[in-house]
Amino acid sequence: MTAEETIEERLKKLAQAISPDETLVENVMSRIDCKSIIIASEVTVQNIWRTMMKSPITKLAIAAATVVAFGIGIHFFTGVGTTPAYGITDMPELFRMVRTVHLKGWHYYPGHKTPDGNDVPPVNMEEWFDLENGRRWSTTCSSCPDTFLFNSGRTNVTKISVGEMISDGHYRLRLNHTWKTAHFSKINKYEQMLAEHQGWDQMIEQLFGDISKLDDFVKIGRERIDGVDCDIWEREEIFSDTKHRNRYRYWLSPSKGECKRRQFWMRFGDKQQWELRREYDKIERDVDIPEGLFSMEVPEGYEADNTKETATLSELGSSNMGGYGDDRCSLSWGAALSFTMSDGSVIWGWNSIDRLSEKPQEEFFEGLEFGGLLPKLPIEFNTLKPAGEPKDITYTGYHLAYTWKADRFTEWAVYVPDGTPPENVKQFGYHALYVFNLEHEPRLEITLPVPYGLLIETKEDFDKWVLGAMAELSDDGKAPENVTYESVLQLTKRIREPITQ
Amino acid sequence: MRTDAELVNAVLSGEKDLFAVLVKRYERPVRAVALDVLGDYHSATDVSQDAFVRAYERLAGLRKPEAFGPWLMKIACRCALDSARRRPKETRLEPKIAAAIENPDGRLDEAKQRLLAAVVKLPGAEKQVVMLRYFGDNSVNDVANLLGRSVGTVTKQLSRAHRRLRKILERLEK
Repeated sequence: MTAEETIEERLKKLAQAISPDETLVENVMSRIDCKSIIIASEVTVQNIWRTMMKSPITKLAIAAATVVAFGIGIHFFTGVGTTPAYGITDMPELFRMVRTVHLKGWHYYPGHKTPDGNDVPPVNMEEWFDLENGRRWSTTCSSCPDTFLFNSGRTNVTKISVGEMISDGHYRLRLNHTWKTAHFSKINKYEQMLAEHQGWDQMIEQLFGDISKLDDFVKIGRERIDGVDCDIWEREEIFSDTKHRNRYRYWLSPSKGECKRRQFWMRFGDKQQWELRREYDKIERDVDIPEGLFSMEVPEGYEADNTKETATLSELGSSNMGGYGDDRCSLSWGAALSFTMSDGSVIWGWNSIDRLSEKPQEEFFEGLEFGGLLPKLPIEFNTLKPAGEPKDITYTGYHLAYTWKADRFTEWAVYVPDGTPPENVKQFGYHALYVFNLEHEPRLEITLPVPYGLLIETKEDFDKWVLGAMAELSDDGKAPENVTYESVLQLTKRIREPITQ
Repeated sequence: MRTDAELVNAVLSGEKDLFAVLVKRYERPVRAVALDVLGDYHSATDVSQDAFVRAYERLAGLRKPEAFGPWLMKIACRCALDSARRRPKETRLEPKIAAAIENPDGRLDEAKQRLLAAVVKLPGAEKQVVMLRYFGDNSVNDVANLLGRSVGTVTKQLSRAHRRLRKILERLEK
């Protein structure tokens, strides 16, 4: 084997070295007393063959037929006269082995006006995925839609702020080109692992969305782009509650397996007009990364509020927090990671605290049992619902464990659905329902989205990701001992049995 | 093509001959696992037979039929370790000895031995798809059908396995 060989080639060579053993099946089956069935069919075939070969006429006929069949076989297997035809469902496989992916295109803002009354121009967007080294570079674009009264009536007025996000796997640099600012953050070990694990998924979702829906695409036409004939593939989705529609279009070369263009369209409510919102017109795989792309240098003239050396470590879940205060409480809440188990249950870590309360936080967790009631925290996130339609499934929360890190605790609960969750939870995730355990009812509505998170299919997944997250959010770096893959699955099974009976 | 789970359920409901389909599907992955532990084909083949028979005897205890592949490979690993322990000390294979060039006595060369060791160390689900894809000569679509998973899931698991293998090998080959 040479260093240049890919893993795929190496695996194929290794597989060739372990050739099939025809006798193994027979030996095993004879040992488990099924031999009579296997042998019976073999004897029948052998007997027919022997009978045929006894006759010189049939011998000749079989020889001729074998030559013809061999010729047909070669023709068929070498595919003479045929060309490969790649379709949209082949795309994930074609992108599976890539080292780098480069996407370039446009954000469109149809119907939006700038504060000075002009149409908002398309904004360039670009992304690089260095999948081998866990690095990522992307343009960022945030829009602040305001509503102003213009002469012609109400119009969306949009202020666009553009920037760049550079991640070398260990640090993240955010540049805002509109305000000329820079900010560094250090990526914690868990997030590094997560980014490496999800790098390919993120790239493929960025490009193809939910790949389980690829079967729903239909071919609607052909077009030549840059001298390459492409099939146009399209899928539409309709949201029954709002009548909102999304449309995805891909231009794929059936002969080369190249994706030449991707468009995302939207249609609102009863409007007849489709609006083009995003477009990639350059999609490249395995191209060399431009030198200096992942440089962590702050451009001249930019004001940085920290440096790489003084960057603070990002905390898991710190980006999904909220707060509220009135004369009787000072609430804050936050969500750590969520995971979806293969049986549809959801493990989610969250916290809530009332800073005006004198009750020590430890007391909330006294006497809690694995699989029992959730702690009566100031805000108790006791239920999850699917964020998409239909919403008739309810996920009830049960306590698993809690962890402490610095002055912040995390309640880890499992939410068990009372039926089969809709497929679209993968796309839309869940949203959390809650009750206030306070002496008064704050005038507050919390919208806390809970992502679908990683799918946990094996004990290895569970240990690495679920227990890894719990350990990351513990002062001692250890996950609670009583939480295991088996114990959680047993618990959810026990809970589901009476529900589904 | 029937999935592992369908075949396991059919065997458990009395269609014992269908176990042959599972044996055929997994004979090379199982031998690969045994080969990693034992180092030579002949012992690996004997141990593979034991592993399949043991799996058959315990099939009723398999809680999740869809997890047949990883479960079987664990059994194969245990059978191989038992066999290695039973061997006289002087004939137990050290990795370096086993890593001789591929030769008529049925051993893999050093690079293949290393790759095989890395494959065996993959997490269960990734190991299963790699084994079925390469040792079972199945397309990605076939693997997805066999395991009752989506093509996307299998593709993701293969990609992760490749990246993980590349890293393990880089470390080993430094």
